[in-house]
Amino acid sequence: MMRRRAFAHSPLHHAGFIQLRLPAFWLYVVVVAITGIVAVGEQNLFREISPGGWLLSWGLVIVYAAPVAMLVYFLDLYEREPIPLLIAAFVWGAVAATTLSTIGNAGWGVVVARIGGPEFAARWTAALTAPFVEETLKGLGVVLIVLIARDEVDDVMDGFVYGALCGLGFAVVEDVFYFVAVFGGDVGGVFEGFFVRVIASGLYSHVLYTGLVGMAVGTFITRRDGRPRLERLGPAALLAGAAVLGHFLWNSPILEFFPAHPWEGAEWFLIPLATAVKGLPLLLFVVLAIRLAHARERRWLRAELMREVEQDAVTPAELSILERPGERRRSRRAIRDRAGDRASDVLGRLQREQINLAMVRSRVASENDPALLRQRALCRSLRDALEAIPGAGSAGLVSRPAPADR
Amino acid sequence: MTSPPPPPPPAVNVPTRPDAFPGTGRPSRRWLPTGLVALVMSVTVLGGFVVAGTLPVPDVQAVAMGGVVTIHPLPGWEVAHREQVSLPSVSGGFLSGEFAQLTRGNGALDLLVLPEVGGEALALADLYAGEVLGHQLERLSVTDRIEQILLRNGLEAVRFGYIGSEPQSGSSVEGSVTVGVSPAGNGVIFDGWAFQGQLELIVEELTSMTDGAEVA
Repeated sequence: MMRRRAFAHSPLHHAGFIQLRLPAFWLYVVVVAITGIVAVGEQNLFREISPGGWLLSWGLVIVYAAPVAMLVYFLDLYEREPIPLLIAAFVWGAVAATTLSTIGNAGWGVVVARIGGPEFAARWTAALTAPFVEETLKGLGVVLIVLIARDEVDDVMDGFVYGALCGLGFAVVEDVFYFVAVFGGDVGGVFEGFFVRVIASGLYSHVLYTGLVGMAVGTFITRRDGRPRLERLGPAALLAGAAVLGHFLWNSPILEFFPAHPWEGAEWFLIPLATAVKGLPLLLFVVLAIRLAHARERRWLRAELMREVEQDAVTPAELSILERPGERRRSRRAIRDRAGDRASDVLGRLQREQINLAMVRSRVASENDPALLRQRALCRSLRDALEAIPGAGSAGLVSRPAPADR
Repeated sequence: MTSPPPPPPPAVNVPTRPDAFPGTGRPSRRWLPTGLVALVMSVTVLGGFVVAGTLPVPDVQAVAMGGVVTIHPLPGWEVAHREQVSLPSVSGGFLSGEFAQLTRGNGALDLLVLPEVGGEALALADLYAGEVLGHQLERLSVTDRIEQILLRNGLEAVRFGYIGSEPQSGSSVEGSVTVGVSPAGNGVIFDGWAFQGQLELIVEELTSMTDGAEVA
């Protein structure tokens, strides 16, 4: 029998993707619809050039993209983003950003050629146009998501998730283009392209660049930072600048150790080394930024919920479990073993609503705000419901604080 | 005598979710930031063309090659390279001619003139695909369909498309080749090409220059 997923939606997730009254939604729809016509035309052309290679290309990029999308999704430790919005971010990157970037890169490429001349343009156009044009256009997708569903983007990690998925969409379509149009589109060419662009370079691609741009957007609009927006502009610019710089380095002739084609023997091993020289610093920077963002989220959660301990909405034991996603899972497994699926479901919901409580706290101005009081009451009553299930209240997982601690 | 019914399981009242929080209200429409997004998008996509239009364009005179063809480059196009060339003929000898490349940054028009080559345009197209493109590009794919066209200057010609990649950079190149042989037997080849799907953006200019060329 299928278990019911009764509490899948958070009360804070009341802003879906389809927001007919918001101009940002219509801007998104119109741009994706128009660019979609061009994108479909391009895919049709690839399908005509090499039907088998085109299909194989999509199969391979899906094999790559699916686990990356899952990884990005689960990097958001406390409040996973709604799937429709994540799909919207992916589609923007895959359809709108790719198509518009082709036009934008061409226009700014003419500027580079007029200023620098044909020889300079041949070496530097890709580095001087794509990082600025593509990161702007992908970043605008994240901004549109924010404008469509403002309540869903709370902090830096949310921005990273939307940005990374937008970048993944872009990378997937670009990879198919390269497999068919650059690497020839036959089986050997597609696998060669897969090796170069995914196995050797996949860790350093648009997912990182736009993840950083998304973090910049998240930093600027966060509700969890007491500093005025003007002061947040600096860190946001630093993150976006790192993305552009990483992309610039990748496209430029600087530090170019890529062996000349055709590759033979040991040259195949040089390819991952050559890509690592350019891409690894940015990857390490992103890993560091994510760790800092996680630490920042943990501090925020602790600070908000510490004040709820005395209100009995969260116990100290629950708080220490809530801070660590692994502990949350372990506690649900433990209670399932002791008290069954129902208890595990209720505990899961209690944990979600306690995290939502922290979010409600950060959105209200007063301790007596009706929304906060209601969320508090919900948490208490969920704990009461859990304790009413035989076997669920033991082992301190949901134990109430002693009166003296309140 | 019947036994008493078992006691009911303990009631578990899972509270229902509260409604949306009061005061949440409808979000504002956010016209201004949406307008700013549209503005930044427009500037990013189209700004390059606008800025390029304000930059000085080298004044390019008509390009005459070997007394066979004269081409009038459009604004923004300039001659990047000219040289005398020879390529192997089908019969085993060599054909001498003149090569010029016009460019505008994101694309180029290669011109090859082969005086007194004679024969059919189709045979010359085959020769160009095999002996020139085949040596310049890797993974060359040439369209199956060859179009018979009549240029504005009255020259009968054939046109085909191709896609390939540059051996050194690995960059993808797509192009459209127009080949004609004048009644005087002079062969002329126009090869308009660009990187990464950008051919569409310059195809009108390429067609205009090709169709407007004067061929003797």
